Amino acid sequence: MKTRGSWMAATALAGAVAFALFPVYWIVLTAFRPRGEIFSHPVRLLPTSLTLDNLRYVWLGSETTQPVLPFLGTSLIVAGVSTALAVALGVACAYAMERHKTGGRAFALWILSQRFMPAIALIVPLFILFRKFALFDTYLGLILLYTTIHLPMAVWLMLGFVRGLPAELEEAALIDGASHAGAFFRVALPLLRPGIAVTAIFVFLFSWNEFLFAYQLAGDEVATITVYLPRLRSAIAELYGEIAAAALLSVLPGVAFAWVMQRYLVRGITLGGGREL
Amino acid sequence: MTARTFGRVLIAPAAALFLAVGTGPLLYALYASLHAFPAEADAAPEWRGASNFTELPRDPQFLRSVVVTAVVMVLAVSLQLGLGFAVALALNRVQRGRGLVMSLLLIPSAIAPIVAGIAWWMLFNARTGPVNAILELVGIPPVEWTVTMPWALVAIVTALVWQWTPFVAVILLGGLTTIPPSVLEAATLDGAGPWRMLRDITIPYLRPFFLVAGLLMIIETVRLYEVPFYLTQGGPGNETVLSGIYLFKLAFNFRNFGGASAMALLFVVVLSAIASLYVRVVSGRNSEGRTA
Repeated sequence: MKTRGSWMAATALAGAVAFALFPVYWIVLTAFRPRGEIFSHPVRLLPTSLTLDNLRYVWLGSETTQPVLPFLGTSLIVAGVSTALAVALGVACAYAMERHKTGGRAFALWILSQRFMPAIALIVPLFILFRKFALFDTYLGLILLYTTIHLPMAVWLMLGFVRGLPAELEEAALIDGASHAGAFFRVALPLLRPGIAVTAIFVFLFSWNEFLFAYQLAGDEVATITVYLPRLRSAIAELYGEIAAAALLSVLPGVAFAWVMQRYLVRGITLGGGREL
Repeated sequence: MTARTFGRVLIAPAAALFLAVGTGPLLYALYASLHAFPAEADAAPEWRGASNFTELPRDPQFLRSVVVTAVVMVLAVSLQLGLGFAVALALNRVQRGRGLVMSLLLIPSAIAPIVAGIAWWMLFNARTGPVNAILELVGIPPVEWTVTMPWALVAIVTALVWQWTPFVAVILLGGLTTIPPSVLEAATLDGAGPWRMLRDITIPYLRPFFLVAGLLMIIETVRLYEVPFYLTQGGPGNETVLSGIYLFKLAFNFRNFGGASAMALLFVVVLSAIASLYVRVVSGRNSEGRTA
């Protein structure tokens, strides 16, 4: 019985992994395939010859494609700065809420309500307000926006970690004459490093992957990688190889980041998704 | 500096940002939903009362988008929960290599939704995609996936199941680890078979986790934009214009800011109702003392 169960579990997992990875395989395959083979009939499921042409076209640009690097750079700046801001504000806010009970239950519920407000509900007012305040299509606009929409998640993730931190260490520091600020910066903050890592991964991934706001509230002067991708699709030329190559380049930073921090990722999902929220 | 002051200093920047970029715009949406915005850029908005709201139920495209969203939601969320539960049970069963399997499974959830749209658009391509190629191997004639109904909806649901099922599985696995081993042992000693254990112990224990995962997935479907935007472009015709896509059409194609704001507020009300259910589930769970 036990062995049959384990067998079934292993088979199910193998199927799930195959299903999860097949689209990734197809993107990678298409990215490295010569044009003739992409359109060959019947469709070939395995590679026969490989090329770097598609990657070269999106990296250097061609008649039909813009170079991808500036878009990756924009994404890195926007996602990087928003992550730093959201994590800094999030850890400060969560610490005050948990340790000093600042804001009480009302403030906590207000933040929770932000977490569940669909960001698309804000698109019309933000479109109008961003144009009014010259934030439309600017780095500052997108960064402020990403910081705000991901801050509730950052606060709730950090709350879980602050709760898990024994208060005795900070109390001892206070008795030894440290200020409240000293207890926070010199005692609590270093111990919260794993929580900060988890929060940073999530905010970075969500900011890096964000499309809607980047597309509607920016996209000309400040254009992220997610805005670049749909531009490659045209009615005239079927640039499948280039699209796949660009898609591959766009996911590498996020996936690499998540892979390195893999054990934190799982912890973040169980915390942020299933538990503390 | 007292603890009280220090606490206020710490939350002030976050609170200011929430006010300026979250709650402020939401209040502006309320204002916009009661007005009409003339085409000229600097013309003042005109008061319309509740007309933007009362017009929504009379707009056939709006009603259709709600129906399509409901269909996608029911199909996608039930598959995500069902398959996610199966994957969670399987993950719970294996010890060796669990971390590796989990990180491989989570790749789809870490990928940008727009890239998910691109990937499935390629897979479902009628001429160059592998889905039809594999179907052909077993003798099924090619399907025009993204441009005919109901296949366009099947394509969207498949992409959503692909993207979020492992995420759901990880949440449910978190729930499985909260079941005390003593309870399972006692049930085994009492002679309960695997199906009875599943029905009478595992599923009741997991109920709050199912609710939490289900609510997150419902919210994900209501706000869904990228996958239908790329995969089907709302087509064929307007058959896959989901509520998220229609909201944008209303705002940016038809320049009906008032109507779009009214629709957005409707979303907020519906999702707030769902979220308050979520809060009740979570706090109910806390009072039972089951979470650490």
